[in-house]
Amino acid sequence: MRFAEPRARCVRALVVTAAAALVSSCGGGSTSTTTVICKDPNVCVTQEALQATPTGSNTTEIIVDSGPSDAFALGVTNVPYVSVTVCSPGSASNCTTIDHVLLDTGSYGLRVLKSKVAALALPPIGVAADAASGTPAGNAAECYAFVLGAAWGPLAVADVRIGGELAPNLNLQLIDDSAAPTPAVPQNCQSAAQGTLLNSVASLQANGILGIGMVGVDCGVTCLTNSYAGSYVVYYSCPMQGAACLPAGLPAASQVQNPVTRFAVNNNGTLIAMPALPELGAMVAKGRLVFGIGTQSNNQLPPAATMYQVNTDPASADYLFVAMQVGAQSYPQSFIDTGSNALFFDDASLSRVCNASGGTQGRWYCPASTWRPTATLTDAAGTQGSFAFAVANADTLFNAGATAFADLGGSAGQSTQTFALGLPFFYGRKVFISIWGQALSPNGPWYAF
Amino acid sequence: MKCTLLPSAIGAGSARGAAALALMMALGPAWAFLGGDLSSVQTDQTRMRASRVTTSAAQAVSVHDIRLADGSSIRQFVNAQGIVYAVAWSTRMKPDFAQMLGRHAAEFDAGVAAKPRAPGLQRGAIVDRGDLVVHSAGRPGAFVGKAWLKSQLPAGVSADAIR
Repeated sequence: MRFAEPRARCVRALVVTAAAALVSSCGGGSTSTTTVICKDPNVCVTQEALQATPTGSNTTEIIVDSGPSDAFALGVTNVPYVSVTVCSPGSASNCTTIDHVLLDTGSYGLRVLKSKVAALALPPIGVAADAASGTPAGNAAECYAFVLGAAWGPLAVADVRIGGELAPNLNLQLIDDSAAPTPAVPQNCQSAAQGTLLNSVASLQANGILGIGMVGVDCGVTCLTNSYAGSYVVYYSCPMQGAACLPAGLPAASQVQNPVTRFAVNNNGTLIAMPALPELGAMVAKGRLVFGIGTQSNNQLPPAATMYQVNTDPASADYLFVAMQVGAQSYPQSFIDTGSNALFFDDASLSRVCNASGGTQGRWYCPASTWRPTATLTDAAGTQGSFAFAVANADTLFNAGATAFADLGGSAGQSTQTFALGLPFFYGRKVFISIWGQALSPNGPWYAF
Repeated sequence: MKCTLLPSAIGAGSARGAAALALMMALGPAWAFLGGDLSSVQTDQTRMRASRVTTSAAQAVSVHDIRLADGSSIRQFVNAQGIVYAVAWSTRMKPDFAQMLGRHAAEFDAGVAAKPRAPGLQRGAIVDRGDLVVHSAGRPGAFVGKAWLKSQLPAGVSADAIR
């Protein structure tokens, strides 16, 4: 399915400069000119929606656009990107800046295509032999699996700069994007990928993934030993002489780290500020990623914000989720996620008869008129709050040809108990996400907006 | 039987319980899996050195909850014929579908492969193919989902009850 009309098809003959003076609502006072692009006089989308503030050395730009230059034909829609600078440990000059790294609040740790940092010769992370568990000495490699797809490649250490922040000696993953990965992709990792190895710009639609979610390392206790009972193997030790990689446990200090936790000061969470969008979306949307919560004047929690603590009981089926209710529908396993490009949930009453979905029960929702419900969020401590969201007709959105949408919704599958509050949720909001274990009051993983 | 619960996603300080799980890679291949029988549930528990809580519900259905040291839970639903007709999971890292779905794993993979790629990171996958239905969702630290065989679902049992 091609969910989106390629932007190139948007008729650009009717470019209208509306000259609307947009004054930022965040006190930045910037004024910009809004250009709209019209496919026909009735279907116009905004050229660029801008969130100019907050600014400062603890921030960097988030851009939602058509993706890396070599991925233009992929139909990238509603994917947020940032730039990161990767340096050899201790060096301020042996560096490379990587654009279009996917900003993901649903994972933890930085993963970049290996080819992008090949010139830096980043040092590997060693694994000691452990006769008891059968782990050979070698260098650490990882198979990081998502619901769909998995990324394979070695671990390495680098100094990573994002905006004005420095994460020194950061453990990260290099996604092996070579034709013949070295070391080879283990069979278990092929299984974990379910046919989709995320090993290229095309498959990632990005040059890497910046995971800044609510925990500090990318695996945790599951990966402390090499048993991996019930799950796919995550970490491997790959012997230097080229023997096959074998499952390995890694101490937390050797696992891939959430880069934010390595910053000197602004290390306890993030604030994501995205501009509001018109109903038909925008060709480009620019927001700000702010590091730290309550550590600077630009990342203070507003008094009006509501804090939602996620479930921290690992024995619970709702671990790391919050509960959401929309009308009569309950979604006890819900989360806020920039890595999801739409609001993904199940509601059998919403039409999925869309051209964009290529069928009557496709991925996207196409209500006859925009649906505007109110959702109630309930956190692990019983705190409740409500907010409005919208789901527009996906065919109408994709026909207009924009890239960034605040009202795109898709099905998560019948009777699924998950509501993924994807990127559309972020537009027009300031969303705070804490990092569990970092200095913060209250400590723990929570959202606030 | 109460299992040991650990804060799993933050790693530090949790090594003791997890260390008890070492040394399992060498054990045999028999796993309880979708469509398998009751005896394989016991094999699973032994293999994973997990705790198991069994509850019985209506329609002579029993649920075997396999608990791992990191808090992960794999629930196996057994019908009156002793067949595992459904599994549900909430696991820290992505569950091994080859183990959990047995011969139906290939069907799941084929269903996933038949779906077009969408932008961003996919945090949900739905496959309804032949006798098999799989709902897989979540993100690292919190993978959730369920799978069932339509032909083995006991009469009067809704798929909503699989959780």
